[in-house]
Amino acid sequence: MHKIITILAGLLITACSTVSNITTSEDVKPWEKDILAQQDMQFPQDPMFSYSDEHIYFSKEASTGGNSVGGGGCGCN
Amino acid sequence: MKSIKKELTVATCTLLSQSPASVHALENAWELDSSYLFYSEADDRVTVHKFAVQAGGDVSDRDRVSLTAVLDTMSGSTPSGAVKQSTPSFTGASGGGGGGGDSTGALAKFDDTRAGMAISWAHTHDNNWEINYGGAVSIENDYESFNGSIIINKETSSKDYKFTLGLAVTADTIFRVGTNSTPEPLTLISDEKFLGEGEKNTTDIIAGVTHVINRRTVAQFNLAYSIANGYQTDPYKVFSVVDTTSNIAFGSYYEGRPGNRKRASITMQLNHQTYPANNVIHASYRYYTDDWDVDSHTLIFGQRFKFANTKYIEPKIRLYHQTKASFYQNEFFTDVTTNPDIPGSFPEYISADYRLDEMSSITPEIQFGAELSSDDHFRTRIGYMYQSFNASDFDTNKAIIFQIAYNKRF
Repeated sequence: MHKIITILAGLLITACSTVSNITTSEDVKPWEKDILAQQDMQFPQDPMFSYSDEHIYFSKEASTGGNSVGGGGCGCN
Repeated sequence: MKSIKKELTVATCTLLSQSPASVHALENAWELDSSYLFYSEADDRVTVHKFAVQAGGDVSDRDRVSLTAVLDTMSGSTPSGAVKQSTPSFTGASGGGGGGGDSTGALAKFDDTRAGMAISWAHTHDNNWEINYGGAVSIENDYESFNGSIIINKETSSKDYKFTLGLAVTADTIFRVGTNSTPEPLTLISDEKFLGEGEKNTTDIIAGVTHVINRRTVAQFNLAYSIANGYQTDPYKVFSVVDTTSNIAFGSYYEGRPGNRKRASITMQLNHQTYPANNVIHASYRYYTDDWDVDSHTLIFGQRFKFANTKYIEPKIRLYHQTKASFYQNEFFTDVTTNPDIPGSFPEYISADYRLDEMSSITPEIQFGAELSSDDHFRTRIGYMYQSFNASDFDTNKAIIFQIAYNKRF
């Protein structure tokens, strides 16, 4: 029981710490943008995967859009 | 102090040791991205092979062009809309020559190919303005689509905010394969009443802001609005008329959908690199609504774990829920012996397309990526999509998604 409480407390602290890191606003100088320039910090992270996902979910769900405009076609059985 | 001096010395040496080849690569920044996607549904339903190639690069210090080519082959069988007990419907499905995919006509076989091409040209203006012009063409055996778009981006001088405004217009032509016609909605399929090609025009608008929150966090907020006018019925989909007393299917009629649709969505996305592990959290949420009464929530969460500086693995999950369209019904009940005018008792629109039903979906997937060299990047992923429907005769849809992609910089 003690272990579970310790683990839960640890997870809570980690979650709070992450949320705090995300929401803390700060000025970012041009020379501090190395992390933000990485591909996995872009929208979308992987254009090829994103492009394929859009086709799959456009074809299989009733809702679409929200990320960009353009493209086209159906392929929607 | 000694430590800082050492770091500066290492950094200076690293800069000086850059080879002319890598400097050249950065200046030109041309890259080729290629991908193969395999999508396969359980129970011998839809199988898709998708090949895509994208080439992009700088043609001047202010202009970047990108060209994308895509080829899809789609085959298998898909729910026609008829209930499982009905007689064969012979309606077929997109690209198919018709014929039931099972003994009841509830599944329709199809075999289709789609070729698409897209081009974009981004021009950077002074004061952090960028305009991206795009065009796309997509041709199928029974669907043609032409699209033009313009996206304007403006970054603040500090580059902490980027504002985006995009407009796209799309003209689609829809017809049954080999016939250049579409069925008259809400008519018995055996009556073979056909009209001309269907045409649809769509205007999409998107407005967004991307904000650098801190050195490790960036967020994006998008508002999207879309208006589509014209033919939005699926020329292959049908619905069954079922007798209320015997519960036996009487016949299959072509579906009919409204001729206009207005969609709106709000999308929020967030990327955050954790400290000190340097893993990356990807999270997004979209709320969607339209005037067909479809509302949906989409939540995506992934965490990318990096190792050996050149590889990553990313478990990801996508959760989705939608309400049904107002005119969706799995079948139309009536007393076929006493109803003298069955079509006359139909509402204005009916569709039994399972994708317009209330639905929940979950897609777990795992991605893996590796930098084979500084200019070669390999990625792959495998996912499993599980959809659960509320009223459809086909109450689930399960699919495997597998993709490999390779990016090469020159």
